[in-house]
Amino acid sequence: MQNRTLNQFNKNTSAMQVEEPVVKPMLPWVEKYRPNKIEDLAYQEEVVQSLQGVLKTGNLPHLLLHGPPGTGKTSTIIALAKQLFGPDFWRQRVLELNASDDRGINVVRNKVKKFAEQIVAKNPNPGFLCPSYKIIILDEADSMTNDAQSALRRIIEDYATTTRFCIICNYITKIIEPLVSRCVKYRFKSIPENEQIERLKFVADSESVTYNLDALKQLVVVSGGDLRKSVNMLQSSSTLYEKSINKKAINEISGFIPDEQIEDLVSVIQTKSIRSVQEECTRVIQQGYNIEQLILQFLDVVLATDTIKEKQKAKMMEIAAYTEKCLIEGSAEDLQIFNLMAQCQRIINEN
Amino acid sequence: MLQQLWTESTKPKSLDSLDYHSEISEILRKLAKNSDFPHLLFYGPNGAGKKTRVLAFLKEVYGSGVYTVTEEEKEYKINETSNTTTSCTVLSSKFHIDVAPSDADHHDKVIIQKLIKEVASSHQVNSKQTKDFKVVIINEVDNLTKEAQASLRRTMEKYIERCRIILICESLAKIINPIRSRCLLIRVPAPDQTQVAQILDKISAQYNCKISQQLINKIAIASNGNLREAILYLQSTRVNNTCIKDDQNIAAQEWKLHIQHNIVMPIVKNQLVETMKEIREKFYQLLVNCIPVDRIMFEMLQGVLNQYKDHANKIILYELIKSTAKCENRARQGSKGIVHLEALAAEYMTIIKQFA
Amino acid sequence: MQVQTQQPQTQLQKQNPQLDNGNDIIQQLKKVGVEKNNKNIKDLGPDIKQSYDIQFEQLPQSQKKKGAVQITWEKQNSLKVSKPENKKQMDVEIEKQDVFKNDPDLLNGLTIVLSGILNVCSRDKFEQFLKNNGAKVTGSVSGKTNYLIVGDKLEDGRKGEEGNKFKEATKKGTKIIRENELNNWLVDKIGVGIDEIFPDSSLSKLLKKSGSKKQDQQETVQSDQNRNFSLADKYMPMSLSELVDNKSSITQLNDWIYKFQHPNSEGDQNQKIKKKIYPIKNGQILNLLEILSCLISGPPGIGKTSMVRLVAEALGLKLIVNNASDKRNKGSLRSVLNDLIDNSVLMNLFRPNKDFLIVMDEVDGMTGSDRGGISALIECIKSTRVPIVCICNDIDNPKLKSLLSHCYSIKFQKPEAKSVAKRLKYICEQENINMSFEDLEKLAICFDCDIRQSINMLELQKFQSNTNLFQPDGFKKDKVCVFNTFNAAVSLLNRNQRIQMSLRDMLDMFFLDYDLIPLIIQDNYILSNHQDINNVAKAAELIAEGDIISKKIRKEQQWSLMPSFGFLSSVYPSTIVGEQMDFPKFPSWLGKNSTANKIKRERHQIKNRLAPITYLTSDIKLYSKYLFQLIKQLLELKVLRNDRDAVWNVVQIMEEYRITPDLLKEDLHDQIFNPLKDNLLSTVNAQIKTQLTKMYNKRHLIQKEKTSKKKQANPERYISENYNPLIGEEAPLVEQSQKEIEEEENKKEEKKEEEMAQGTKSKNVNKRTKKQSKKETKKLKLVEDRSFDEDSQQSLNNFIVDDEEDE
Repeated sequence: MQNRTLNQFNKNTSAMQVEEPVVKPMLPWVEKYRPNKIEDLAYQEEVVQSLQGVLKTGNLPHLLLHGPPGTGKTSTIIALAKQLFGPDFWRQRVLELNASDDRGINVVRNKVKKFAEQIVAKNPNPGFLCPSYKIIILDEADSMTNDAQSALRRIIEDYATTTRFCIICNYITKIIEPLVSRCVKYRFKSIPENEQIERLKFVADSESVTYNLDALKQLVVVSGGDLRKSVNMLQSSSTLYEKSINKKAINEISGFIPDEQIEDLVSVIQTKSIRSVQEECTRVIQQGYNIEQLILQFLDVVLATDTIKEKQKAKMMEIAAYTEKCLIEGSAEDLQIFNLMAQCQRIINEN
Repeated sequence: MLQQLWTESTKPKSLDSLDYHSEISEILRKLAKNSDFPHLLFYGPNGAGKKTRVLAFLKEVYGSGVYTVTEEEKEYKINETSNTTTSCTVLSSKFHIDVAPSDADHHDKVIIQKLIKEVASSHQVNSKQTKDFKVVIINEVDNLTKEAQASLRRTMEKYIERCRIILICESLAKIINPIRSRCLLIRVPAPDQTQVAQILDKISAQYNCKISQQLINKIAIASNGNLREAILYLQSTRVNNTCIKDDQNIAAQEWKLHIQHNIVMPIVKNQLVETMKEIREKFYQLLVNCIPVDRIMFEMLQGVLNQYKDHANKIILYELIKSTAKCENRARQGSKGIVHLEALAAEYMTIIKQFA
Repeated sequence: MQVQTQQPQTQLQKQNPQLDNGNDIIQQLKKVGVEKNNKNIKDLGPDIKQSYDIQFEQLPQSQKKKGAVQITWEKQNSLKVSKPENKKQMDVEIEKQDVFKNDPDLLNGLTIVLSGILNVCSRDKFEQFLKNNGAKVTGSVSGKTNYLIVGDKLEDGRKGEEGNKFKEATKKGTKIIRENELNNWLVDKIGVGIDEIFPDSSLSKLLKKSGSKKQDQQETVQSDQNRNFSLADKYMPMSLSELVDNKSSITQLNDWIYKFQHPNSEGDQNQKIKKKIYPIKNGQILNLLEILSCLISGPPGIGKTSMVRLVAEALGLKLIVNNASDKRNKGSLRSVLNDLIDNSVLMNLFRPNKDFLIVMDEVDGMTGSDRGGISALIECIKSTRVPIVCICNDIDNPKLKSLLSHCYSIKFQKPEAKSVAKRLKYICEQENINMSFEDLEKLAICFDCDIRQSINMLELQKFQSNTNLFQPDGFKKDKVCVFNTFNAAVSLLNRNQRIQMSLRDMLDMFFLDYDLIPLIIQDNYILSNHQDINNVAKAAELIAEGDIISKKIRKEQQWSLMPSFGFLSSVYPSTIVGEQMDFPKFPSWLGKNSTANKIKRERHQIKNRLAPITYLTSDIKLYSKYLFQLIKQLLELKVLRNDRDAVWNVVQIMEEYRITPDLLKEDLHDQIFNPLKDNLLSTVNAQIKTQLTKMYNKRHLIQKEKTSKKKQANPERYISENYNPLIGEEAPLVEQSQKEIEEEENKKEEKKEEEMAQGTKSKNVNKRTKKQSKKETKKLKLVEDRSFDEDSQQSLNNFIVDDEEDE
């Protein structure tokens, strides 16, 4: 397992070194442009600062990195490991476990413990700090069972001298309290628009993609602060549209719902006929749009509509929130969207 | 002449022969040309032609070999220590494998993890001719448990060099965000009525059945965008009647009628506890036949709305819709469908009593 | 209860002071034989002597001389042998001879009815005794009945007084003899006490024996007083007399052990008796003498293990106990037991005077890791030379079924609360716990007469209150003993019963069976006579919410949510709508759910069948509906238009979609929404159905043949884009077979023709054997030659059956 993980990174790093003759064309840009150094990390200044301190002293606490997806959590810790141990050694010193590996309590008890028990020497690699500990990265830790997390807490303390843990998760609430208290927490902020655009520009330039600013802005809007998503989308749209992207292409690729469709919905809730609401909803469903996206865009348009009163907007928001909750729980889309639209119509017609 | 149902015999086998959504075909063609493509996620309603497009796309990539498949039952141990296994039927060609892990219910995670690792670890035999990656088609991703989806997310990154994953689902909302952000999303909308009618026309010409435009339109409307249903229906009308009448009624599916007659009508007529006893049996008849609870509720809603569509007090309609949405959500969170159906029926009765 | 005259027994003891256990007594008795008998008579009390004298007088012929006694005995013995069929437990009879002689005139003319379980000896034995002495034993009380002898308890554990016979007897004025009066009555009637009649099994002897040991032991206990014993251990019965109730079981066990040890003595004398049968519980008939093991069953904490221990002590047997704490899988049991049961020589070497008794305690716990334990035990039982006693709680446990058929079953009854209380009172006195007899009785009832638990409770009580004052309110009557699941549901759904309960009580009702109660409530809440639909809606909503919680509990193991689930699913809804409900319906959800699962499975199967052709994942229902309808319609067309191609088309469709006739009839059929559960194929002509099956199978065989030919090249059947059974290399074959089938139809009656057709067919498809002259043999051959999957096997069978129907 460990080997496999390391092999994986092996490949990644080899691809990252652009000067190598054989560059795999199919490597996703996300991997390709993953920062190699902490300094390259976009936007997260506080994290970068304190981790640079670590690089100087070699003194690393247990880390807990949390924040929305695509903000650079995994990139940070991998970059840190590379800088700490050097390109030759970091693979031996790091064990990465993620949700696609089995991480039940047994794995924690056996694999993690085994790795944690190993003792490593200091400074085998001149030029790098290479302190005498190893790093275990538990990626996507919010999907670990509570049992496994409980088993971890003792291991973390017992092997603190030889091993540092880095727990990465989206939602810190999913990590049990005892684990949280053993770690230094870093919250990764959503990357703001201009930072993302900068980054996207850099990627697009290096891949010689022609673009306009509008397209990149739209890219950021549809990805909702998830840098990985926007880079992914940049890649796929550039593949599809032969290295030149525009706003329309982005919309096409991101599943952004055409404004006309949303306008139709908004106008239909301002009528009095439930039948027409029903028909419109059926149409939306048949079009197979992403309903969550639809609700978001719908609310955007509603908020911008002057004819609807503020109070009504507030009520509609409430129902929209409930609908989204239902959808996340897996409810039937057609029913829920119909309900949302019908209730919105009711609210508008009430006054 | 009749070895296959028309849904199969008329199924387009290449991107060029696809009848509608030419823009999707165009995208797919570009992807195929590129010799490399990201993970794909096809979403759209039932019978819209997702799978047809996926296979046509694969044919474009690999050649017609993708249609030569073998069937295999794979068994995986749930974990290292126990002897319990979970199994799942896998269709595989030289180039791709096709699997629906949600068949294994809550063990789907195991199948995802093991199967993809297995595929990724096996090399393509002659990598000169073909792409050096395989394609894994995962069906019904929206039915996968959250755990299975979570295990998929990193797998998708890890094994991207060896295999590409094509996910097919009906509703995007049930897919967790990390997966969505790792895929190129391709929406396959249902064909609209004219498109359905065109296809039906084409098929009826192909099989030389004389059918009026009127009837074709009727079928197209009744199919509600589900092309598969439309074609099947066309064929069954053809077999049913030696000469097809123009004014033939398009019968709704039996269970829908059952709901209208045996469940909605009693609720509308008598809002009594007796009615509850009466319709419980009817609910069970539907449930035993594995008709999904949300579909039953949807049909019930259609039925009651129809009954009260001209009612002076519009509130009743809104209330009915609201209660349906609420009960549907509860049914999704719970496990015993009957409980939620009864709750909905009782709620309908109170609403009708109060407002009608 | 055990108040019995021990006078004669003591005498016997005095006579044989050198004997120290029952076993030896018996052997000694045999050796001593007749002299002892003489001696006995002389030493017997005046009453008995008198009765003997009377007997002598009554003897018809030349037996007035003293020496004739011996002859009488022999004669009696031979008499016994000559009519053994009615006699149970022969050895006992023989023993009886030594002390007491049966006389058919003793109780002559008396009609006696027995009721309940006798403690002193088994009922059968007693009945035999009565019969031997001339009394008439009948099954039911009538006007002619002189006496009714009532045991303390009935077989089903009720008190003797509750029995029908007892009531009948009181009505008729029949004299009733209780068990404790029995001895006096016997002495009165025939001049001998009960112990004399049944010396080997007599309780009092055992009691006496264990009693003497008890004293020593109790002294040791006394000396150990400072040690921290739990009360339950401290007051573990030290003698049989301390055991509470179940005296009959002691007797039974004693009998059984005795019998086990002396199979030969009896066998020698009564070869025929060995065949005597003894029915046991499950209707199986077994030879009593061949039962090598006995199974004691009864609820926990009433002294089963103690009883066995004490009986063994009393009989001087060495006890080897194997309980749940020992490893008891197949291997370990074998190694342990085999050593013991086989090595009789070795055992004799070690302990020439002692025998063993193997006790397998808690045999119903031999599950899980003790794989194969039961079967190993049975094997040992079959070959054992040492008595094996098994103890279990629940004799109805299905795991014990196999064991039960090899065992003599002894059932332990729950003791009566009074008896338990008596024992508890004794302990209280010893421990200075101040509790009234009534409270103790309540306590005993609370714990369902589980003595061990009651004592534990007593101990708790002792430590809890320094004043040693007992508050009876401290013990709530345990609901579990009182309610079963349905009662609980009824009490929730009935307003009258519900108002007596607190919320807590109602929740307890739910916890009685948290799986079933919510289901029962769900099934019955609309049936419980409530009429307001608004309230019903409210209840339905609550139940729906409860269902969500229940899923959470099961999925995420959130058991702490259980009370909430209880309130939502059971307590609250039934409070709202529960008016009156007499007999709740059994939850129909269970059945419906399993049907739904079955159809789901079938759908899954169809999906797998269809997958290679249709690439179908969802919409299976719709698809299979149309597929089925198409097939059905085509078949119907056959009749309408006399279209020969129709069946052939159907076969082709079925093949293409890999639907076997069975799959069509069952799985596919079930997928169609069909609330009335009609047979949808019933509209299709039966002949056509037959034809379809037949044609399909023919075709199928050819297909099989082909694949087996191609086996090396193509192990799997490829379904390719271009695959078409009518074109390509397969085409002639298909046409051929079609032709043949038609041919066959035409000339169905002419068997020879048919054979020819078969012949050509087999030639065409390159069948291997030329010997196939008959159709049937060919079929069989096919079955043998190729490995069919199950489906084709089944359809082959159908094929044959259909054929027969045709002719």
